[in-house]
Amino acid sequence: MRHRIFACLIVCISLFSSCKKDEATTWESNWVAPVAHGRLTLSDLTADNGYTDNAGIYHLYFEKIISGFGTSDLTQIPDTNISQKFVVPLSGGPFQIPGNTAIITQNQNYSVETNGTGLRMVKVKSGQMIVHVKSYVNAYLHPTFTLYNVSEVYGNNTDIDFALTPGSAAAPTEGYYTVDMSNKYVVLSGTSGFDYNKLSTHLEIKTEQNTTADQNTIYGQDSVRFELIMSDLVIDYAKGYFGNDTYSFNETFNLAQSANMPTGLLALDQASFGFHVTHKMGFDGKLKIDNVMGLNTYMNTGVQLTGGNLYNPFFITRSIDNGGTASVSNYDINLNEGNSNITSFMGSLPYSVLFTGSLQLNPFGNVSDGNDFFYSDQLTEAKLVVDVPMRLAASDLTLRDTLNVEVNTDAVRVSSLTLDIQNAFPMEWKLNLTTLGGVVVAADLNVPNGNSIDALALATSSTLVIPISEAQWNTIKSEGKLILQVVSNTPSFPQLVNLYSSYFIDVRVKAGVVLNAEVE
Amino acid sequence: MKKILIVFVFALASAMSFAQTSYLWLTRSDTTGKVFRGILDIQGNAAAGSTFLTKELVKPFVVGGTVTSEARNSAIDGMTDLGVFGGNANVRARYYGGRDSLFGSEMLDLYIQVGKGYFGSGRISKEAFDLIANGNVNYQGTRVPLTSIQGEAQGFQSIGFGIYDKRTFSSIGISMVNGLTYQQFSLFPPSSFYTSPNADTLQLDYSGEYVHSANPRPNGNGIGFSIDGEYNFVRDRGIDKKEVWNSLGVRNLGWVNWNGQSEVVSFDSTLTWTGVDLNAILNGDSLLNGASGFADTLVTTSQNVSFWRPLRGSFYVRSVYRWNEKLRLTAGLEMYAAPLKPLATVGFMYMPKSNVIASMNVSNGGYGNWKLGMGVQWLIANQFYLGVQTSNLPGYFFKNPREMQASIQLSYLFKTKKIDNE
Repeated sequence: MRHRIFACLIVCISLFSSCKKDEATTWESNWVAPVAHGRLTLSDLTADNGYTDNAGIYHLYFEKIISGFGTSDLTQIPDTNISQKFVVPLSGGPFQIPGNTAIITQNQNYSVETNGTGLRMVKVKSGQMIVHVKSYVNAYLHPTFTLYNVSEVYGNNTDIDFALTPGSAAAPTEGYYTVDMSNKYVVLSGTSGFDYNKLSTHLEIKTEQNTTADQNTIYGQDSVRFELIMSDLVIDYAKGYFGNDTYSFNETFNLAQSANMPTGLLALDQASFGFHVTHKMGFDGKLKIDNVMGLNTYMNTGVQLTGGNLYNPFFITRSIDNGGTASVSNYDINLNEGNSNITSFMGSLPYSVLFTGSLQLNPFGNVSDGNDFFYSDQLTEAKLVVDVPMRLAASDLTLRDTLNVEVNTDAVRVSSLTLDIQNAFPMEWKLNLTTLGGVVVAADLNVPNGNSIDALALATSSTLVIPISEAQWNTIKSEGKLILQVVSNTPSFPQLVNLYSSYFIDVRVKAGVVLNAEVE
Repeated sequence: MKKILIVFVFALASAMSFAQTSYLWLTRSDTTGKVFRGILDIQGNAAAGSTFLTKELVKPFVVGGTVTSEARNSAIDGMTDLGVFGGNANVRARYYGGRDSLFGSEMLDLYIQVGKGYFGSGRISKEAFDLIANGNVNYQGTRVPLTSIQGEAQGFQSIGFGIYDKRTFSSIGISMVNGLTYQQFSLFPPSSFYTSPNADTLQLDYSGEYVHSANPRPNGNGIGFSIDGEYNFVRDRGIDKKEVWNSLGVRNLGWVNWNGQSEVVSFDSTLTWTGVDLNAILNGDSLLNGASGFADTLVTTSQNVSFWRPLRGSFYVRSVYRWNEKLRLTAGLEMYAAPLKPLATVGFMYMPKSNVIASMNVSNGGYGNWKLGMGVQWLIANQFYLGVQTSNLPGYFFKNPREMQASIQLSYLFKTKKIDNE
């Protein structure tokens, strides 16, 4: 019986085995899927650098604040370390000095670095001042250090006391005191009241009041060293004479950030350029623009903006301090089609504008007698403004962009692209699609111009079908890019057409996809 | 590989009568119950069939290769609304005892058996299969329901015993079942795939459940029981046009408790793809891989639970009508759990000699639809038994059959002492 059962089991087990396929199972299926969609308006096409005027016409509008007018360019108090040794005015010794006896008394004006300007007073926004005292005297000392006219209340002093145990040449005793300088006024006119960059102080060193003479043994020429450390001081308000240095500025700003600027012929109308200065600082100045150049590196061209009084120097007059509020004065240079070449300048399709110039402070010297001023929150501002109404004519205006086509799988092959387009722009578009290597995928696919009437956007519909062969697809996949070239033409060039903000182009892209499924 | 193919070929031929008592045995039995002194019986069976999947389509999944569009479309053309597919592979060894009596009855004795089996079945609608097989090109503007997609697979071992009647081979037995693997996948409403009319939106709703046991391991992942039984009785034995052998049976009727390492994963998600925003492309997003077009709400929960699941059992009835000494007419019906249809069979047996049967039958149901089966039974020297059968003979010779099945039965019938002495 048992042998028979065992025989049964052996036979059962032998029937089981496994196997592995020699090749994978594959099949292809055909799918259609949306790839991209969206409505492109002028705002989208210009990266939101624009606005719509009252007539509904879209304007390209670029505004650039010119840097170089910050407070740190005018003046600042760098981190400074002032160190001075004070000597007991005696000779010989030892001297047994009773308590509460003054041994050193001294007024001192310290020079403060201000980067070449002459300051009479500042209000500090933040930072700190550290007083460090080191005693080599074998006595109990009580130094008192006074910072004259350093306080949150204008005109008040800051007093600093130390209590030092006896020290020696080998082992001096030390004391530290940190003054938070936030919102503190610092008068820098010295003890005379007419100096610049002078911090006035008073030092008195006494023996400690409750000590006896035998506790304080002093020799002539014993010394105490004081250090004044200014750290991270940020000026909120400054008054003085800012000098007559000349500051240069060299700015470049891009009209087209990442997209390539188009090529071809573009006729524009009524473009304008503005350079606007809003002066809110207490100094006189002479401004001069040296160069405004439009650059197009793709076409390797550069056009200088000329006309009007653009390159003439002009003077800006100091503001008046009205109890914490600086008066404002404006200076403008406006160029338009009538007084400059701004239209042809923009028509050259610059992708960036180079702007260089200079500002000289106080060209007539210290006429304010040290009363130049600025508030850190009321600075002079200068900006460039370019305004181009989208009233144009285009002839083979060509926009070229590279599209990313990142496909990391062999399971998908795009066999066709279908573009459903609604075009409301009064210009026809021709689409060309090529690989990086120049293989033409689609050529001169025509999108007819819209039928819009003024601001009323009326679109025409068109469907573009782009078959993609397997060879083309393999090329696209290996390169990971597709080059899209859009050529646009307005009717009857150079007749101008208005582009209204209501104009749009709707695009829906769908792909025919062959899915290669594989099962190992 | 060849070994598997051979097994597969035999397997895909006639397994629906797996584990039913051979008619030849029945004809050899008598009222004394002492014709045999025990039987060692080994059966193997494998089947794969479908109401729509053809051999041409399935073959690349077995041996590899490309599933052609012709094969796919042929399968789709053959579908009505809901397609069913499935398969199984089983072996069983049973020893019928040959003792003189059991419980004081000379007509009864014990049998013991071991077995192993794998079952799998599933269903899918015509639209859903067409979508998966051919893509959505033909379904623009259509929402294809996916709730028809369901599948289940299970594997188990069993060992058991039972009592049988030596005269008729009627039997009843119980087995302990060791669950090896269990997988079940179901999609619920509103699972669907939607392609908008101009293909600017694709939306996949998938809500459902995936239930599975832990990874297969020697000790199994569940424990349960199953019952096998068959009742055979005859009327007017030996009389032409009157004798009828009837069989009522149940096979693999049981349950398995899958252990606590089993996992139930529920998911309810919507994935919408509308393409990349054009402005994103202008800003450098990839034309095909851009992320801006996805909208996904994914809710997935999973928990480890122990649960009971029934085995893939069946009930069957069979009648064999004696027309004359050499010809028998047969009819049978076997009932399975959904999604399989009941299998109805009619046919005949030809007995050129008393120890040989050649059979042919037509059946409909089970994994597939209509099929033509054939089989041979041969009792050699009244001791060695061989039965080979297929439920769909064309499955071996044509490209587009939808079912292949084969079963083989090998038995050794121990002679009685009386016969030994002869």
